[in-house]
Amino acid sequence: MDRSERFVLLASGAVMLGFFAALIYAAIGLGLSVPTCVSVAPFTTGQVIDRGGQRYEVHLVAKMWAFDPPEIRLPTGADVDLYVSAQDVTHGVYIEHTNVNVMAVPGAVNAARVRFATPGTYTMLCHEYCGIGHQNMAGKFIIGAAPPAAVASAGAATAAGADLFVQKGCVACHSRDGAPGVGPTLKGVLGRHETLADGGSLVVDEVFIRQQLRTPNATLIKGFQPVMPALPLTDAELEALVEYVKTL
Amino acid sequence: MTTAIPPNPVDRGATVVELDATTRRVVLLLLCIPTVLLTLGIYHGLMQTLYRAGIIQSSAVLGLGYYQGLTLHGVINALVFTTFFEVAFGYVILAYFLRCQFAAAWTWSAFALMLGGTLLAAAAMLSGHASVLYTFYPPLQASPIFYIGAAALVVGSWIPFFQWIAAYRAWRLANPGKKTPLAVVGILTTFTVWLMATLPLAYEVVVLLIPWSLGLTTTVDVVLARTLFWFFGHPLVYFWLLPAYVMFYVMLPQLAGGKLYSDGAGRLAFMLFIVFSCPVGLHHQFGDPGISAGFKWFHATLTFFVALPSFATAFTLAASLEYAARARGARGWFRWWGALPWGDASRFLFAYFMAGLLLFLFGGITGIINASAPMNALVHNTSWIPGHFHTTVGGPVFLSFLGMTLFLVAQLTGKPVRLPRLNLWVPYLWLLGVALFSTGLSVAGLLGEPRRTNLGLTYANAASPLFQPAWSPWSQLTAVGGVIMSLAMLAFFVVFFATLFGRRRNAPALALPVAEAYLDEDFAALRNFTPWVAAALALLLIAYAPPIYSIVSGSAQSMPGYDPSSPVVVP
Repeated sequence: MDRSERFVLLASGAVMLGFFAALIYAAIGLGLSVPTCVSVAPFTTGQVIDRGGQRYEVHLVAKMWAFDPPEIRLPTGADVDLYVSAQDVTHGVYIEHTNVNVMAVPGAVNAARVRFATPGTYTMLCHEYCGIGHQNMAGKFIIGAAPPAAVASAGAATAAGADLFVQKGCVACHSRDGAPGVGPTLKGVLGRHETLADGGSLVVDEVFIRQQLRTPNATLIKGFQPVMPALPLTDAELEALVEYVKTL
Repeated sequence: MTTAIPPNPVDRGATVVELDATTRRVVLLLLCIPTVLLTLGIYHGLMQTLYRAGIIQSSAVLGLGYYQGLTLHGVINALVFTTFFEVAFGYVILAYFLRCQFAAAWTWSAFALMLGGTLLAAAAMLSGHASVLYTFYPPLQASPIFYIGAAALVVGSWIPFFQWIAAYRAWRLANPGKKTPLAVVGILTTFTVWLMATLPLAYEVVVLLIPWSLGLTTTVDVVLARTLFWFFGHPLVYFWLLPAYVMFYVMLPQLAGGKLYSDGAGRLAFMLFIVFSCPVGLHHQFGDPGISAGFKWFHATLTFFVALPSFATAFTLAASLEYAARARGARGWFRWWGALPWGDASRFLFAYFMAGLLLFLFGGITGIINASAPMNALVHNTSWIPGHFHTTVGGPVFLSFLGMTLFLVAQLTGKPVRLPRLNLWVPYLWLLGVALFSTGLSVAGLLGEPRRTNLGLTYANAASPLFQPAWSPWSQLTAVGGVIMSLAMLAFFVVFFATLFGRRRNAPALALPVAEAYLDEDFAALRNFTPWVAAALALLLIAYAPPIYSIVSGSAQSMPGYDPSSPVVVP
């Protein structure tokens, strides 16, 4: 082996050693490491637990295509132990401006630790493909802001429907503000004239909303694919959703 | 523009070898079929950049959905095109350097399995029953046809390897004491890595996924399936890269007008790839739950070792190029770069190789960043990752495969390359396109933009509450890059089909550019594969037995299947 080759092999080995030393420093000195096994069993209910002294435990459920809870409000300086469970398929959890970037894999719980030192809204998004609603799967951490005053006017059924709209994943495909999506937006849906895929047309009423929830693709709106699942809903859940959708 | 040139004037005086009829026919089919399919793969690449820039704000165009197109893009470009090409290239290299012939029945059965598998998978993807991306992470569930097709493609690609091993052993017996040609060492290395990597993949697909998608089993262990996939998924990268290295070591120095600086360095690099290619897959799973951090760190460390042969290659290639330039009378510390045949249409392979290598400078460095466990949180699953691999598999690998496809089709049909000036534009346009495209993806990734996401519906849509204006300029730069890459490919397809459907001018025959070695030492330790393969297997056992044992014995729950379009379990 000639001299320059020997030099190059040694030099590149030294470069890699230098990089590696930097990694060890990052892991030990700065505490930046990778997720490991935790002894928490998979869960299906999202919750925020106040452990006292600015410490919070967040149980986050990732599912097609929403996070539960979708919105987490914490005071500035909160130290969060985040546990992540996937309910159906593989998802990801990325929280902007933090080092939280973990996978949510069915069958095992992931964990991350993060301190929210600066007030503000941190978008949390799913960064692993999880089906056609993937691009809608996002939530947020709202740090250091007072909770909004409860909306008193909303009826109990409507409020329950609003929760179901997120929990059941409707939100993934149907926007509530007119934005386009996999399915039609539900903004102002009651009384809207719709053209159907078969060329017919109709005016959306309560009966039609109920029918679409029970037998999703029996009547197809023009320009959309027949991909809506028939969700297993109780009668009470169905009525709550209908009441809520009517108010949009 | 239409002046025809002989296919390979570089090597007047080079050895000419004729392939036997079956091998020639199968090689041509293996080269042409994926090039036709590539039109679909490239179209969906372009479309993704438009969706992601918010130029298209819809879930589908022309009846093909975003994620369906993303699946087609990944499977066709990264699995079908590469595997078909590499099998064809392997036949060419073995036949050219060892003068061997292959049993027609085995060659045709390999081809039939690969083509049949590809057609099955394509049918499943195009009919919308396999929009699960090329990583097919369960519990997303595709049609069994998709998994069966993928398995047939892989198994079909094993057959040629066994034909080549037999040919290589026969050659060794007939030529005692002779050094195996470097190109042959490279191809056997490639497929050794492929076999080691695809065995766990075959287990995942055949044992876990096919029965599950047929309904014979109800659930699948997701953590185990992911681990088996990445056991395959990283060595896959070297399966792509190694044939390009064969071209760079064996052909590039000759095309540049010089010699390979060191033959031994090439052999050492290949043997190190055998040892270190496979036991590194957990660096794709740094963010996964259910796998101990200790195992992840071990794989991170081993990944650093696999960078060594690439460092050595960078040196050897640069030294070979400098040798060639100085042989052409160039002077100065840096001015010699200008003396290389950048614009020589008759040596178009040089331009294809060099444009790819320039991209690979960035691909190599970003790869080391990705392997660095603590930095994972910054880049994992963001658009930084496709920004990285379009400068590796989309750089040196894709360009060298593309150039070699054209080169071999021209030689094996006896039809000179048409539109040679236009052909020369392909690699440089592609280089420019990827540079812009990857810059956009990388910066947006650091800002938090996810990969594999139809941004046009939400994050790149001003009407959506999720709109992220900070990502927009970078997504738009990515789209500009994507358009330029597509123009390069348009030029390539024009040249390729004009050549293929042009008139035959010479008898079909192979004459490859082959470089002599400047330093041609003979290291006894590099003469046999056996000790290196044994070391590789031992290291694999150490790196993978403990994590797989801990997953299998500790995994809490297996999952039923989900269709990508519904949050309800597949009945």
